[in-house]
Amino acid sequence: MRDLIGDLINANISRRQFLAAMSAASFSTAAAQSALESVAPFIPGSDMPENFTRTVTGTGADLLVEQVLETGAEYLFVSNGSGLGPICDSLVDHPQLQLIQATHEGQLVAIADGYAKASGKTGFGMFSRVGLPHSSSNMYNAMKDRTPLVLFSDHADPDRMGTDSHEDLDDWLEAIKPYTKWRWTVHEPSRLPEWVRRAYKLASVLPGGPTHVRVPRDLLYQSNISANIFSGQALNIAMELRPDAREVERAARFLLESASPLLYVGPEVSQTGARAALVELAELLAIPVVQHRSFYADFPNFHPLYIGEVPAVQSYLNAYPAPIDCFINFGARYPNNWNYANTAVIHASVDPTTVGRNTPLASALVGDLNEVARALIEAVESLATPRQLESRTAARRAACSAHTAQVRASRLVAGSRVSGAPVPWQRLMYELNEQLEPDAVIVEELGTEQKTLGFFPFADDAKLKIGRTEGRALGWGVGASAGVKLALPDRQVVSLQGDGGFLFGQTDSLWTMSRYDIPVMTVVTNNRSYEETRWQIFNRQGRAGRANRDYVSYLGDPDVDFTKLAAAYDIRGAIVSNSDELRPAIAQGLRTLREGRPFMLDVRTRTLGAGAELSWYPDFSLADRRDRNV
Amino acid sequence: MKTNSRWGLTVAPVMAAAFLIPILASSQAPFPEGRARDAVFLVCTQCHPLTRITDNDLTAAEWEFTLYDMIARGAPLHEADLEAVRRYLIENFAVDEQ
Repeated sequence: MRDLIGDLINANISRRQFLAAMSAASFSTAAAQSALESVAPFIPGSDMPENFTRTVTGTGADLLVEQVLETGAEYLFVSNGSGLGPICDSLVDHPQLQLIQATHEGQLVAIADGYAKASGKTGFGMFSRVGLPHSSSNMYNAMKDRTPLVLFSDHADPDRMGTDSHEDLDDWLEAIKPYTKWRWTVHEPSRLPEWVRRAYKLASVLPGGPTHVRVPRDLLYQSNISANIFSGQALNIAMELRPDAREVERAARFLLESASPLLYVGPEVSQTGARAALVELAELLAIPVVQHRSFYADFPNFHPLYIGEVPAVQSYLNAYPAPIDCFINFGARYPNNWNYANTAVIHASVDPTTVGRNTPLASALVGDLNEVARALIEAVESLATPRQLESRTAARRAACSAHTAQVRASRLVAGSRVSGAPVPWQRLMYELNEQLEPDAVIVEELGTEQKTLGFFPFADDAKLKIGRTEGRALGWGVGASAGVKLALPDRQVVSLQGDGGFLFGQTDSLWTMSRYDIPVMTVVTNNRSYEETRWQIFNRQGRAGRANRDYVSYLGDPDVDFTKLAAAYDIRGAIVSNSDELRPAIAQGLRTLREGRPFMLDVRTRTLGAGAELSWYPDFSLADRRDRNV
Repeated sequence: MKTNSRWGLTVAPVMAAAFLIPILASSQAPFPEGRARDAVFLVCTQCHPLTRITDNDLTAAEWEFTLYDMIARGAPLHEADLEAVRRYLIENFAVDEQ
């Protein structure tokens, strides 16, 4: 496409030829037209739309803020740093950019990440030059999820760069190279808008990811700089790339000939807005669906064709005993250890670098997944009549539907029959689902999230799941839930946290929730343990397991009262110790949300499994070892 | 405090195309035959070996709680088999309350 745009700008081809060539290159008409409109002002002889670019004169910070606003940004997420001074000056004249402050760079990135995941827009943030290491854990999470973020910081002034002065390193950017799609240090203030545009473009084009731009503080303060600011229209090129038509037909034939296909879905489905089309495709061919680990629910999890995660395939095959002969990966990474013998593998992705990365393919479909799904539907319908489709799929549809209905029914029984103290976690989920709004948003950071969330129906017309991150670096969920609520202020938002996960420095985000009246209910499933860590250690029955020594997992001493942590930030809360207390406590929380304030629910849940009965941890008291009691 | 090893709940996907692997140990002595046994073999072995059942000493109440926990975490047991599996685990593997 870059060459085509170059030819257009250099008048080597006409607009009509440009559109025809884009179409031949598999771009949709909408994408080609959008690209044409975006570059139109640069075509010789074109009339530049009055509002396409404008010259702004001001400080470096003014240029940065003006260009950020042109992307359509509503919020700038910030944390403390003296480099924010020039931004604050600029905001006096740009009140339309709303600051949301965090008290820690890592939580700032989590808030921006949640906002971006929920809104589908790019999140913008800025922190101190020395805050980069703090930010990098959630920057890593965002990179694994390909979340579009543009993160700024200030930087050492040019006359001190490279001198190993205080608050500076010779190379800040090398450390975050694996966590960012692109990074840059600005040296020329008049080019600031250009770097903002580039950071935004590279962050937001799928597969997205964080970008980072460092700006020396004195460049942000420098005044009377003139530069062109580009309108948002110039920055948004639709990328609905269509898959190759021949590959689509090949794939459609594999699907039609398959006796037992399986659809494996991942986050690109949601990122490209392809969920509805994929449901249609699955229903057309009665293909059972397996969810890859994802921070979205990429297929309605209560759909009759949804069979769960990979381990659940075995039970489905007991209900419909035909070996999988066609595996369709739609926007996911590959499952671990899957046996592809005698299986035609089809992989559809927006990212050509991932297609076929781990296995040979029968068909590769590179393109926007909504376009891919629509093209496959069209191809299948052109190759088989409705009667032929029905005769090929009826038995599979019936078997899968009957199986999944039975599994969902037993799960509801399992959630409703347990009670008591400490609270069974599944009873908590059952009650939450009963009491939350039908379209509530669940933001979770639990150890086995896709299993523990089975009580919530997720779909475009039901609840929305956001989290856990693919990177799984703990310390994301509380901040992310604040960002989600900022993006979706009219939907109920509940953050599901483990006590261990919450203690990964997430108290900071309660400050942000409280300051800005962000009504999120944080539910801590407080089992006083890093449960999965304990299982891993004790199930192996190594020396620690055999000796019943829980060196790192037990969290019950000190026994943290999360409502007191919340109270320190003027957030109300409740402790639930028995399942009988769940309903009134949840109701209290939801009332508080309606009043516009956040709420903390500390649910003392039962832990079980290997080592559950242990409260041993290495005995150590520094106070007892002192020679002087000072 | 009990000192013996307890039921392990690790549900890491050890799929390895497990559906291609013959169901384990259909003639193993501790598992009396019947429809409930088939369901146990099918559902439980998807994530862990059968020794997690035989090597543990849960009471009847603990077995019931553990079964519901496993189902809630995604063990794809049919509702039609649930009661039979609950009774099967308790009758064959539960230990007395101490």
